[in-house]
Amino acid sequence: MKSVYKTKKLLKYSINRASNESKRRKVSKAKKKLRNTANNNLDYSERRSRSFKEPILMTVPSNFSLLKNREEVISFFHDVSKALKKRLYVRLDLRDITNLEPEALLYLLSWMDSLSLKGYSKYISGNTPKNSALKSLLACSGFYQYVHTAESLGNNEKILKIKSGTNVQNKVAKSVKDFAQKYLGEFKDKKRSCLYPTILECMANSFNHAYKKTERRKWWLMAVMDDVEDCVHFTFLDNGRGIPRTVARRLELSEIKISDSELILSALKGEYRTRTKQNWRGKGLPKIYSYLTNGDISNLVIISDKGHYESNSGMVSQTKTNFSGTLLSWNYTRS
Amino acid sequence: MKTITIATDFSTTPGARYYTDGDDSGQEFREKFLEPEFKSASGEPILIDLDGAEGYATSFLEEAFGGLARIFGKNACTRLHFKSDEEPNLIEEIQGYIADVEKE
Repeated sequence: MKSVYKTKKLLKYSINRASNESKRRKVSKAKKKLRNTANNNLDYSERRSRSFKEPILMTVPSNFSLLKNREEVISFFHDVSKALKKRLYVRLDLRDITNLEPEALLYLLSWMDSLSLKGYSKYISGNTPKNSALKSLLACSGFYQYVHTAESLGNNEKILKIKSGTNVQNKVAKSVKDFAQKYLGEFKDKKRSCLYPTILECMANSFNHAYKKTERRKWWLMAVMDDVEDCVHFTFLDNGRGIPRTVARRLELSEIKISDSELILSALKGEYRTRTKQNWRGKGLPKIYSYLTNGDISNLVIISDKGHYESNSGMVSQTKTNFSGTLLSWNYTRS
Repeated sequence: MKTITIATDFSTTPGARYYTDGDDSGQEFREKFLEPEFKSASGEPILIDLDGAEGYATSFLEEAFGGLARIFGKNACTRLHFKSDEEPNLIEEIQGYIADVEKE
């Protein structure tokens, strides 16, 4: 409530204040009238575009692959995230990409999903590759089911469309196994039917270990038949806490410096165990590793936090940038 | 001897560990099929037939059989016998989970 000044000096102040306020309101009213008159002469789309900010075009790395171009792709996503945090509109430019791998697609989806939870989804848009084969791959992968787009879905029998879920879905695991069996033939040797358990282990690990109970737990999965290598290539990804972080927290390793890649390898070998502090758990990764050492699966790659493991070379390496989540990729071959 | 065939009596697509993980969990299998048998105190041997299912996650097997050992004790689990012509190594795996319970 404004004070009522009774002394001569303060009375003059009060009169001046009222006069200035009156002038300010007249100017504001005039501006508003001018703006509305201008807008009234425009149609809806023109009026809307006035409030629409032009998006920044950010070029996706031409080799859009986490396995073959990890640092550049992860850095790209970090750069886009920085722009989004400034509330800038960003358009992902995929027109000139020369390679598109399933794991990069899944990471793009998981990254967009995590941003949508924070309210950034309206700031992201994108286009499609000029390369017709890559454009077809994008359409047939099922990517468009997860984004707002006018592009139509494609179909390719040799691509299992992207699956996602928030818990362990045994029926989905079976459908993935059936897809592989369709191209690799019936598994007469039951020992090689580790397809189904491997998918289940990935889902269970993601559900139980990658996220806190209060977080939305989501994973993505894709499979592609590779005619060149005569195998089915699987990719599984989640964007929770990576393997190194959960293992380190479980064992309270904050004061001991062990690299993320060493933690991944140790988790595979069952040397460090589960986040849940229950010793009978955490057998999923060692089981997957046993499938690898038995030759049931091949080309196992795990990228998590700053760790990177590749079974072919036996290489473990540290990345410069942090990979948010856990990526597993492996092959099933016919022979 | 009572026989429980997981694929026909329970599910051809066994899931993960707990009810909260998803469908056809090891916890569900243990509570619906194994625990009633153990609670009945008949002492009758039980044959678990593992054939016919798509496969088994480690968490399913551990919760079903390791969990049983945690509840009733390792000695009680000597009533269990296993058949797995398709994946013989599963039997050793399950016996390992039961044996590990005693060490905890």
